[in-house]
Amino acid sequence: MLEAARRGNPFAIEQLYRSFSPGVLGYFRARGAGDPEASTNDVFIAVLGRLPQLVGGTTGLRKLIYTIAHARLIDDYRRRQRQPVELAFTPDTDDRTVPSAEQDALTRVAEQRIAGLLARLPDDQAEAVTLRIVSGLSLAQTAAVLGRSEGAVKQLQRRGLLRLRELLGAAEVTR
Amino acid sequence: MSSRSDDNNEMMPRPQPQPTYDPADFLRESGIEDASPELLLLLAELPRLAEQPSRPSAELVQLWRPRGRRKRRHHALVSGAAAIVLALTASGAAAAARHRPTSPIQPAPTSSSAGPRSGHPVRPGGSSAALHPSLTRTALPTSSSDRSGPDLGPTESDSPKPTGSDRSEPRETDSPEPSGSRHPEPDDSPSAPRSDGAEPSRPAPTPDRTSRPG
Repeated sequence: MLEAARRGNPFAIEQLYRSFSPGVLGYFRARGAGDPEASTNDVFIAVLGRLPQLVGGTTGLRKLIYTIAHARLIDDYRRRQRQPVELAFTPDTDDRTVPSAEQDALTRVAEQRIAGLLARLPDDQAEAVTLRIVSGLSLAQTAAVLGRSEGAVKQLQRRGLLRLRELLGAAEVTR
Repeated sequence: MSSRSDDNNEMMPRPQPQPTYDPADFLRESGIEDASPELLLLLAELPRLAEQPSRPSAELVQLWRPRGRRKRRHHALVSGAAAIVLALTASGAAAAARHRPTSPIQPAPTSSSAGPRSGHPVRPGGSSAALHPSLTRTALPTSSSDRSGPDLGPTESDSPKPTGSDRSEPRETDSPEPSGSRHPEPDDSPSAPRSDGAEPSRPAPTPDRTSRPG
């Protein structure tokens, strides 16, 4: 499949997108990106341009995808610090559908709550937890994306989880 | 790291990144034994953020679709042309099969399978009752015994005659019995009496040996 995608097979590329895009979208959602779907599309536009030069098979592809996603997330943070978020919305061309207003509201609440909790972690800890749990990367893959050793990622993951437990306990006490 | 060929043979990940993800296992792996229920719930919620995007952007689709569209159009054209050729071939073969007349030498197995000959009206209720009249005249004969219609001229082997007026006269071939069968003639019976009243020839009686004189 990957080799066919490298040769430009449309079906293989579409399959590749459908296989990897949920993890990327979840990564952007968990990390509180401004427009997770747009960022996901940007990642795959960049990935498709680099497919012919890809080495390392599926492992290399996963590393490439999340390295680009990580870079896009930092770009998104910086951009939002510089200027307020402006999203162009044209109802006539927007054909996205949602299940229902209630479901959308619940999803957004959960998403914002998770993103809010992760945002209170140090960035490298939040990154390690998100890549491991939301995107489903292994220790080695997370280490490759973050440019750290596997042991370092394991420590980041542990500290991040302990911090989350504290935050959740504090929230429960104040409730 | 494994070789490239091994990696390429790997299955693509499923849309859900961790279908067998267990928060308790993950906490244990991280060295956390006493996890709160809230943390377990949060870790169970986290993978749900990874769902299929609503749809790829138009810019992204353009990157992989142009060649695919051309291929699909080409395939649609080829398959459409093939379907037309197949349909024409099948209809022509079916029409020819329906139209093939039966020869007197080789009668059709059943009367319903024999198609109408040109010049005859299509009998309602027969197998070719629904056949369009134009189709009954288009099929070409494949052999001399398949010839039909008066345009080629009748031949000896073409009896019975295809015209309707000839049907009024009874012919031998109109008999439902096979052409080789005959009614038994009276002369053929060895035991039948002769027309002149004479007894049929019998072997001469042998003289009674008991009455021999002497």
